[in-house]
Amino acid sequence: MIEPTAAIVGIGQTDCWRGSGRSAQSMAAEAISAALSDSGLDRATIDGLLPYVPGVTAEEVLSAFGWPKLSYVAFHPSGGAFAVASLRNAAIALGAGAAKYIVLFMATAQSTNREHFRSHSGVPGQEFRVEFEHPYGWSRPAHWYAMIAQRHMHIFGTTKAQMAQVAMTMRDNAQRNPSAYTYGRTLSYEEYFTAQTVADPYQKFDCCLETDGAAAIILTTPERAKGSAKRSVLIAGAESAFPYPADDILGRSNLFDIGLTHAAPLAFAQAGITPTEVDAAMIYDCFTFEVIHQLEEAGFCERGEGGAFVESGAISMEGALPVNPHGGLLSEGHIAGMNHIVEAVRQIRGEAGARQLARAEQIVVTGWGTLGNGALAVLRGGDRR
Amino acid sequence: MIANAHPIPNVNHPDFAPFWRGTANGELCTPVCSSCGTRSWPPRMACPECRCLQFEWSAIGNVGRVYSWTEIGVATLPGFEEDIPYVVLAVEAGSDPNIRFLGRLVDGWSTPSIGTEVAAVFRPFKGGFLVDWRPTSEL
Repeated sequence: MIEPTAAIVGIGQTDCWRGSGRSAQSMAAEAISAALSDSGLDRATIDGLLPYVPGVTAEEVLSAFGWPKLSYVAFHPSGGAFAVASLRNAAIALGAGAAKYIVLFMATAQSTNREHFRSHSGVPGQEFRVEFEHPYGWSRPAHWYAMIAQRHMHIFGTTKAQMAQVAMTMRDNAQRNPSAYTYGRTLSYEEYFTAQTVADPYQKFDCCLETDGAAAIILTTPERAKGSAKRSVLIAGAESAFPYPADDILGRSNLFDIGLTHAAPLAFAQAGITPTEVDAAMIYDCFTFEVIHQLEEAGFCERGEGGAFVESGAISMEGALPVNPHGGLLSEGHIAGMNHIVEAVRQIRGEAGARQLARAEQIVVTGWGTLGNGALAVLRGGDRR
Repeated sequence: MIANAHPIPNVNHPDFAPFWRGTANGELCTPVCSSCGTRSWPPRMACPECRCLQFEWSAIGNVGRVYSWTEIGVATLPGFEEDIPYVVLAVEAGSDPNIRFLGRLVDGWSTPSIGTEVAAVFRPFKGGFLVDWRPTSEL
């Protein structure tokens, strides 16, 4: 177990829209501004930035917010795992004294700027993909990950009904989240099962939303966090890892072995806990099956048993391990997992309103990106105010 | 044949050209490390076993087994609108199951289950041949 070196003292997030017509910069400013207000920090104290690349640049943010002393900037190239992976970057930087106050943010106009988002230009081995996969019409995360799901169904008997359970749970949760894109839009089993196939076994409602939105968090050392008006949230553990090989999914000896498989035990060891001691899990739900998969690889259940785990109702708000009370990427919106960190903080602080969990002292957040890069963080309530 | 809109490989890519010379000869070829003999796929900048930078390409055989599959229901690349739905397979090479190829299931065949034996079918495009797969069983 290690002593935490980072704590979250501010959060900010926009609503999640489709076709907002807003620029990423506009949404980034809203989220960062909200986080600054939430933290009570003077804007001039920020000296570290963790932006998503490509995206709204550090240079634009520091210039807009007036941060001439910015000295620490970093980006962890993990696709959607960047947010949780960046928690590790923040812990390292704060622990080393490289920065005092760090803003981690992401703004995306996926819906308004769909062509750019879908070009997936940051994917490892992109030339190989273009030359050897695109000619066969296999080119998107849904296509890639569908093959992992298909194999899991074949080997372990995982079913569409179990994936449906994930989709329905996320949608139900979003009905208590007024800023969720699907707030007010319930989903029936019939709609789920009759929806268009994207890449078998993935149908429309197995796939995460593509929305416009932004989120930002502010981190500092636990010592400095003691001065904040709201309860801080400690990063008790944070690790990221690549799968092997990291540049190709199909060549792996085992498709279920992902970055998370290796990051999870390291993060739990840092936090000094096992998965059984976690009150809730924010799982990077890019696709329904990937919730099942990540529950297994994070150690919440054995490999192959994730379907049964979900089917038991364990991941519902009333279950043993509530997953994504905010509705996740599937039903709140896609802010590359930043929204999962924000929700964890809200829950720990007791600010989650209608969807507040009774037990929310220690929450896991996972990240997943590109070809299976992964990350896991354990968030833990700091001293109560 | 492939309609003009489909993306096609650049058969002169410096790292990949030997593969397309192979398929033009009806063969599936992959790099083999000149120092330790380890076969690899995809082609990489170094040998993961011994870090040698020299490779020779050799044929691996044209038969394999279905390792996984998916059926694509929404076209995401130009030219594929007419093809949907279509099935893509991940095929493990018969002589080395660690080597896996991505290719289309030949039209007219129903989706084979994981483990089914399949054979390579070379499909012409302007400049070379892609590799699709069909079940070897006639049943």
